[in-house]
Amino acid sequence: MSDGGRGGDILRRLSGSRGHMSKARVETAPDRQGQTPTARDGGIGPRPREIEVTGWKGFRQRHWLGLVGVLNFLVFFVVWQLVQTYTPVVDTQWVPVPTAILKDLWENIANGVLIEQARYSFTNMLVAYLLSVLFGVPLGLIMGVSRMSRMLFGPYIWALYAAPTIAIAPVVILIFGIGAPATILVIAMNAFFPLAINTMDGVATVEENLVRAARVFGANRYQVLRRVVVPYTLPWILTGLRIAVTRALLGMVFVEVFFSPQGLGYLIRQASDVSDAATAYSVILIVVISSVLLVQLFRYLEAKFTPWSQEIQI
Amino acid sequence: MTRDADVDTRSAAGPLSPPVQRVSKDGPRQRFGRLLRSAPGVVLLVVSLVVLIAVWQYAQTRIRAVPPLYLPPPSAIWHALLENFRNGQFQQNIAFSLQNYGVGLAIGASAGVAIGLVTGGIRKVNIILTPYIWALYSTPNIAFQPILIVALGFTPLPKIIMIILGVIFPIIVNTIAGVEKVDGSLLRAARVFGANRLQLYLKVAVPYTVPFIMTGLRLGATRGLLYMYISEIYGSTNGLGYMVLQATHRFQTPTAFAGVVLLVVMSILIVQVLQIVPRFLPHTREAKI
Repeated sequence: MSDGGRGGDILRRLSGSRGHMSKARVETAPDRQGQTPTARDGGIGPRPREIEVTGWKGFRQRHWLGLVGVLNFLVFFVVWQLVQTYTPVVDTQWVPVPTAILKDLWENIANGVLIEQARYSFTNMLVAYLLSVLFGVPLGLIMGVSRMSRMLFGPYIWALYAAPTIAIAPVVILIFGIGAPATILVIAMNAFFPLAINTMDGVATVEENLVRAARVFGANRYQVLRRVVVPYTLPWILTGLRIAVTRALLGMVFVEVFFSPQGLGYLIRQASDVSDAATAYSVILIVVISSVLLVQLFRYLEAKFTPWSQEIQI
Repeated sequence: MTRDADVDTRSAAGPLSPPVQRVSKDGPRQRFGRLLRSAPGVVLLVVSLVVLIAVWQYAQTRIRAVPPLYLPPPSAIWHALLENFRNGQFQQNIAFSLQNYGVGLAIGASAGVAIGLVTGGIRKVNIILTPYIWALYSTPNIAFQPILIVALGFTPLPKIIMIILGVIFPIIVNTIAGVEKVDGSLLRAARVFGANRLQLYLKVAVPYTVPFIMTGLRLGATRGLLYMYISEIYGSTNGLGYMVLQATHRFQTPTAFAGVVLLVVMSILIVQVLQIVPRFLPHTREAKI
C-alpha cells in the first residue's frame, strides 16, 4: 500500500493486519520463531509462548481501546465545557456545562431524590421484565414446537410485535389509572413480544436431524424439548432478552415522562418544566448510563453463554 | 418435532419404495389440522382476524365482558374511524404527522447513511464515534423530549428532532456493520485492477453495504414512526398522537383505538413498501443477518 493505509479501515485490511485493534499485541518468544508452524499460523504444533510485556508499555498495549475510550470521553466533555463557557453555541440555559450537570447530579444523589426515583423506576421495570420473560419464553417455545398454536396465535403475536405497542399506552393509562400497575403493564407489553417472537424463530431453526437422533435414542417429547430444543434456541432467547430490555427501557421512560408522578422520567419532565436543564441532563445521564450498562450486560451474557453463535448480533 | 407424522412416513420410505398411502383414520381434529396446514398464510391471517373481530364484537356488545368504555367493540371503532374521516379530523392530524415524519426520515436516513459510511470506512472515526452511537442507540431517546419541548416550543422542530433521533441510529449501526463486513477479497481484487482509495470505497464498499442500509432503513423507519407518535403525545397541538391522547382525555376510547389502528396500518404499510420496492431495484435486497 503506497500511502500506508492512512486512516482507512478498508485499506488497512488490505495489508492483512488488524493493527492495535487486537486486545494485546502478543510477542512470540524468540526461541519459537522460525521453527515448526504453530497453532497460531494455522499449522499444528505447540501454541506459541507469550511474553508478558510489563510496565507502561504493556499496560498501554493491553488496555489500548479502554484508554482511547476514556480519553475520548474526557476530550468530549472538556471541549463541551470550554465551548459552552466561552462561546456558547447553544444557550447555556438549554445545554448547561458538564460541571453544572455533575454538581446537580451529586446534589440529587446526596439528598436521596435520585436514588429513590431510580429505585421506583427499576423496580417497576424488573417486575415487568420478569413477567414478560415468564410468559414470553414459554409461549415462544410452545408456538415454535406446536404448529397448531403457531397457526392460531402466530399472526397476532407478529402483528403486535411489528406494531408500535406503546401507542396503546394512553388507553392503558385511562383504564388502570396513573401508577405502578399501568406502568408495569406498558413495559411488559413492550418487552413481551420480541421475547416470544425470537424464541419462536429460534425453535424454527432447530435441526430436525438432532430431534430425530434424540427420538431414536428414546427421548420423549419433554426430553426433546429440554435437551435439544431449548439449548439450540438459547442464542435466540438471549437475543430476545436483550431486545426486550431495550424495549422495556423505552416503555419505562415513556410512561414516566408523560404519565407518572414518580420515577426517573418524571424527574426529567419536572426539571424541564421549570427550565432546570442541569437537573434534566443529570437524570438523562443516569438513564443513558443505566441503559448502556443493561444492554452491555446482555451482550456479555450472550457472548458468555452462547459463544458459538455470535452471528445473530443485530 | 413439529411434524411428527411426516417425519415417520418419510423415514420409512426408501427412495425406490412406492409412495406411502396415508391411512385415513383421522378424526375431525386431524382433518382440521391438515386443512390448517394446507392453507396459505394470507388466508389463515384473514380467517383468524375475522374470528378475532367477531369474538371481540360479540363479547363487547352482548356479554360486555369489559366495560365498553375501556374496550369498545370493533363496530364502534369503525364508526369512530369513519366519522373522523368525514369531518376531516384524521386527514388534518395525519397530514401534520406525516409531514414531520417525511422531513425527519429524509434527514435521518441521509445523515445516518453518510455517518455510517464514514464511520465504518475510517478506523479512527469509528473508534471515536462508536461509544457515542451505542450510548444513544441503547438509550430511550424520549428522555430528551421534555427539554427539547421546553427549549424549542410547540413547533414541529422538536418533533422532527425526535424522529431523526429515532431513525438515525439503526441506520448508522447497520451501515457500519455493512462496511465492516465488506469481503476482503473483493477489495484486493479491486486493488489489483488499480482502483485508488476513493474508487475502492465507491465501487466496492458502498454497493456492498446497500443491503445492510436497507435493513437499517426498515428498522429506522418503524422506529421513526414510533417516535413521531411519541413526540406528539406531549407538547403538541396536532398530530396522530395528540389526537389519541385528546380522545382518551375525553373518554372517547373508540376514537383513541381508531387512531392506534391507523398508526398500526401506517407502520405495516411502511414496512411493506420498504420490503417490496427494493425487489424492483437492482442490488438493494436486504441483508440476511
